[in-house]
Amino acid sequence: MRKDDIRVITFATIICVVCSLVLSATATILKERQDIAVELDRQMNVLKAFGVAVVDENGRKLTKEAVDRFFTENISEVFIDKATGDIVADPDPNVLKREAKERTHESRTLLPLYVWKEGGEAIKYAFPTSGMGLWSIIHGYVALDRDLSTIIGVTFYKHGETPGLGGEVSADWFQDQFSGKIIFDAGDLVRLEVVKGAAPEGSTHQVDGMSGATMTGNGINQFINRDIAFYEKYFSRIRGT
Amino acid sequence: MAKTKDILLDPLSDNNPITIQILGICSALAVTVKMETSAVMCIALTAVLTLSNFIMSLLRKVTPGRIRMIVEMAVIASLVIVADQFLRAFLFDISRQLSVFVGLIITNCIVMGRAEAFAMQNPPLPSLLDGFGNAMGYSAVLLTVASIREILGSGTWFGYALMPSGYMGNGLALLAPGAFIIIGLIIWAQRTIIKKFEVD
Amino acid sequence: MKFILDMHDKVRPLFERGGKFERLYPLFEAQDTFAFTPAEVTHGAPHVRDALDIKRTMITVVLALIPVVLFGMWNVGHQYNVVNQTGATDFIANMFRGALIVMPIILTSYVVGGLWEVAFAIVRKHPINEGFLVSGLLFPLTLPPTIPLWQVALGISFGIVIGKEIFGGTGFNVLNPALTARAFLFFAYPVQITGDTVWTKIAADSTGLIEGFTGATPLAVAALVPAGASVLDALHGSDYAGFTWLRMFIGTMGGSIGETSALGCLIGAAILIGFGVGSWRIMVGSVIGLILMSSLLNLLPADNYKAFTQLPFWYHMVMGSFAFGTVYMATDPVSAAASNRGKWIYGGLIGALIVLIRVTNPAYPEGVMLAILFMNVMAPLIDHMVVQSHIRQRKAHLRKFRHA
Repeated sequence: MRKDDIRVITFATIICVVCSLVLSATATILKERQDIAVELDRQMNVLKAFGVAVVDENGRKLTKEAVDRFFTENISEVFIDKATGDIVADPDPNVLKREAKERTHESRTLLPLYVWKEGGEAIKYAFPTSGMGLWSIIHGYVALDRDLSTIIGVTFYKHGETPGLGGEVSADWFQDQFSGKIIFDAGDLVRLEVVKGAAPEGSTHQVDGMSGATMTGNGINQFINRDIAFYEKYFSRIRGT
Repeated sequence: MAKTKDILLDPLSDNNPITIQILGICSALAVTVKMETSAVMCIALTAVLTLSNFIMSLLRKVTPGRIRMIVEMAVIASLVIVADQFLRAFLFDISRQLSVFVGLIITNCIVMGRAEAFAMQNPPLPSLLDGFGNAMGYSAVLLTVASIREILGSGTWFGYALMPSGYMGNGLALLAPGAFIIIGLIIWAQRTIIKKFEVD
Repeated sequence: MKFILDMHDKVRPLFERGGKFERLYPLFEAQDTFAFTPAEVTHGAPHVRDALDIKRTMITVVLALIPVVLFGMWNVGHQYNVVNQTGATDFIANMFRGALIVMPIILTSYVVGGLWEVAFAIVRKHPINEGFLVSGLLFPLTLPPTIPLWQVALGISFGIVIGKEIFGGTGFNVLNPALTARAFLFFAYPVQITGDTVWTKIAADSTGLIEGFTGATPLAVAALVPAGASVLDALHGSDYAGFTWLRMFIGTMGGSIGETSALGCLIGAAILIGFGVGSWRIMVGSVIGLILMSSLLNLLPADNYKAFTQLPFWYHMVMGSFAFGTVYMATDPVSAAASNRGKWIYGGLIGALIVLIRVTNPAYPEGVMLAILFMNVMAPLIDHMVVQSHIRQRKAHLRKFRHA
């Protein structure tokens, strides 16, 4: 009996060692590629908000090189202190790592902001926004023009809303409506709003709602305006000068 | 020779893991909204199931009976994690859409079931074929369900528009209950046909 | 009458076993027993001394539906004429306009549903069941007047095939086929069956809509009132004439074709109960369930919870499709609980669930369909528990006697 026990333990140990070796080998070898994939996905979403066509007419996506070129030439990522609205020159990597896992800006202290520069001058800004829709957290980006008021584009890239109703947040017709809307008028923030039904003709800050998805629209109204207010602390300074 | 053929072909219809044994339903409901995700899921499962059957069959004589199940779990779990890592590295979009369901191959009853029911009693080559055959049976159903769901629900197949532009997607096909009903109908049809053969 | 009977008897052999049209017997039988009482009588005791068969039951339900069908038709026309400002106001104009919109929906449902019914009857060699006459009429009444006809056809096909025939046909279905059909459309094509724009038909060449028209139903209005505000004010003040209790009771508002009038459903309920066809226990049970649940919600602090929780129960009764669902859907003898005590529980839970879904679920403004389907599934369990508790009682009783 004792001999059998030893055999069982030996066998189990060998299996465990072999399995863990295989796993750690794969994980190590693939780590770099996985990080690139995650990074690329994030960059693509930012580009989409900026209005860059990330998919060509044949359905092929931009290559990693092309995306990187945009980012090295034009786009820089900065972090803003949520409490003060200052740009943080050297953000603590540990804080960044921890906060990257948070699902909304509410629980972050450093807010990421993407600045699109041409000839050293900032001409576009984009920032992530996320919050509760009806059933799920909706994730997206908002891109603003240099006046920090006109919206270039809004994208929602991840959600778990009902297909056909709230799921329309990821549809082009819904997102395209946001371009050209303004969030700042006559010295004050204007509330960006997904209305129930059709938005009034010529409205500068309202978009048509998704039919049958009033609650999803209300969720977007709530979190997108909350996030705009977070960033406004920083934006108001740039506008001021 | 006939036996090899049976091992390979039986799971495709007469002993299909999903429609006859009703195993592996969870992923069949969850990942079949689109052909793309289902196809990747099928490939992942085929790799895991074929390899796990092969490895367990190689180990069948040295594995102590008492910890047989745990060894099976360890092998299957390792294979699944490797598959998941590969997906994350090379097919990031799809791996995000598949989310936990690749990981859940570990608990997919088909994998454990074949290891326990077939690989532990048979030599490596037949076990490999058995694993592959069952994976094909699973894939056949998964891809059928996904075809129906994607065509009805989105009017596309592998992302290519099939339906005329005015087509209104059937939202039920996109929800898990829709998959449940479709699988039910497939089972109904299959059993009606098989019964017919028996009578003749 | 005699002449028709003779003619029937003359051609009968053609359809009976061995006859020329043997396969079409279900068709012959259907219309034969429709016109005359069936030839078969119950053999052996005990007898129920009544001419009641499934056909008479179903015809009674159809009869009870006539008030809501007529009112629904008038109301659809009335809403159309008011909202589109056509200027037509008289009864005939409304009826005519309503019939133009409603009749195609009902006909589609009957024709497509009928084809499935006949197809299954011929394949399975059983007579055509008149249950379909009810399902085929109930289903269109639960739809908004703007529903596309192809969806009606698709919905009734799903209801008949998946909701009923898969389980073995009339009498074996777990779920109410008409509601199954509606649930299918509800989840498959949500845009055409929910939201504000579907409840009133807008003319294609509409020149000017009435001012203040939003298309929202009372339930949608009530669901959006924020915490602390008065839900009754919101209801009375909204839309083009205000949803007063009386208006909602009579039903002159947008909504599904047959659901708007609680009054029409009440007349239907009287017919069903009067003829002993519909279970009064289920109806009363769900009214009690509704009162209890809405009173419970009324107790929540008004400032912390949305105003919908404060709605008094008599408003809940006339809003949405509570009356229609309770009277015509919940009482479906096949899918409801069968034991008397079970009927009370079944009805009570339906009433309570309806209010709960309405008030607390943010996605679904109305809960009648989901509540009834859910309780359809639970009905056999309720009956089982009722029977078990009877058995336990008897056993306890018996023990007492033995010990005495």
